[in-house]
Amino acid sequence: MRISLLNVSVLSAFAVITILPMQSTFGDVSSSAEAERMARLEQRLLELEQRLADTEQETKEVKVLASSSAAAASAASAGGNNSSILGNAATFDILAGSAWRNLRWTQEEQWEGIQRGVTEERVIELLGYPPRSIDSLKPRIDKVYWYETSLRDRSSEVRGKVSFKKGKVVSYEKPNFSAVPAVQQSSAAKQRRLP
Amino acid sequence: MKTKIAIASAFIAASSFSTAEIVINDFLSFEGFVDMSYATADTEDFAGASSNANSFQIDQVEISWLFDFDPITAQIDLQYEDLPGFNTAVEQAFATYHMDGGSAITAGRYASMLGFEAFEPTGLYQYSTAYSFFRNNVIGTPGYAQGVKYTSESDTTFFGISLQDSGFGSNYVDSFGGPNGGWGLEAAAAYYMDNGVSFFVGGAYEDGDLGDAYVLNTYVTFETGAWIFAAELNYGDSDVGPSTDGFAGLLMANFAYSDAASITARVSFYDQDNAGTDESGFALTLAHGYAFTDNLFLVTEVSYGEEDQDGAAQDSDVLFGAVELLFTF
Repeated sequence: MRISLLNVSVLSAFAVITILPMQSTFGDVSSSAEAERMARLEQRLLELEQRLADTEQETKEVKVLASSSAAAASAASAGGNNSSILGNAATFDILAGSAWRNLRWTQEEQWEGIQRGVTEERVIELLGYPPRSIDSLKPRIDKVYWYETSLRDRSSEVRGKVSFKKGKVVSYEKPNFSAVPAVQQSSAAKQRRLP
Repeated sequence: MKTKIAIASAFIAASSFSTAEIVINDFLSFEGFVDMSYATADTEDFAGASSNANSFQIDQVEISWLFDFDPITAQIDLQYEDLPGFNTAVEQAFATYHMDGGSAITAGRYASMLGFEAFEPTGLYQYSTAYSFFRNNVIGTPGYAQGVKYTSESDTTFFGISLQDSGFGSNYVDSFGGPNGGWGLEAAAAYYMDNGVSFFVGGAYEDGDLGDAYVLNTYVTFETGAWIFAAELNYGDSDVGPSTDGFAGLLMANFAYSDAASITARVSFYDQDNAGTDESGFALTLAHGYAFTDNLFLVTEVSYGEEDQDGAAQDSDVLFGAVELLFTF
């Protein structure tokens, strides 16, 4: 067969007709694979988010432990004795209460919403339930919430209190976050503010 | 200070709600107090005999175990109190089932819903209670009893009704089933207004083996700024032992002049017919409270009481002073 313009045109047209449908088929296959890949990625993302949430919770507890341990070590080196047969008091505290204790109050950002006039419910929402509270004996204070890593642990700077009168905040003392090691503060800063 | 005073005392105590506590875990927490005092009293009785008594002692130590197994809560109050023969006791022990809408059913041993003044020193504005200076059989409000009660409360209302073993267990002998036996019924209702005024009305009836008795109790409180005012009136009738009927009441004003200190004035009185003998009396109390911290409170009090009895050689009177130190946790 001679190569002529007509023959070339016919062959080209045949090739186009044949190859285009094949490309479309390959495109469908590729799109399906892409969707599958996306689904796997999304699943992976969910898993990672869950792991991140778990790790954040663990980090909070470790931060409290580390802070209290450092303070306890400091107190011990100064002649104090803050340990018990159960080990560090804060360790026991967290072991006993990690399942329920809300440690939101250990985040400096959570204290930003605490001010005079804020309701008791809002305080609990921001800081969580206090590990200790009393009905105050002072005539102009109804009750006081103490936020402590360990009950009456004076060696730790990570403790604060909120006083109420008729269900509203009348005074408060934030934890001394400036005394918390810088590495812990930077870690805390990276965490998003909790609702 | 008591209930936070008594306003809360009557209502909060009645609902057995407690927020002050040391949390041990999800299910258990503690609270309590230590009450110690020095007191002195110069007394002259109806026959004209004078006497002086002093005391320096631990008046009461109490630890409350608070359980929370939502929707069930329970409370056990263990206490030491300087009472002859009853130094340690289970003051309260009850379990409460909480229903939706603020309703609850409580069973066990619990405090009466009646009375303005709190049962514990942590809820009082003074060292003494209003009717403690009257040596005669003054009709007062009940103490602790064992039974079942239903309570319902909202932000502005409270209602409670209790079926119990005894209506008038004012001390441990009576409240543990005491000599009068029988059964008792107690009911109470309260209404709180937004302007600081609250009203309370209640009553208790006892059908005892040795006789019947009832008491009606009402009081109103008004809290404005640093002031708290209260007025209470009781009317009772009892044929347990000598037949007695009459009135008793109090007026009180408390002013918190600083964040840590307050002063209280109280007048209490009674007028009754005790087995055919007319008796009456009054007591004046001036007290000062100072809180060193939220946990440590110092109360000083001076009181004067006088009673008159038909047929007695003369009036009886007592001059009383006390210094009390209260630690709470």
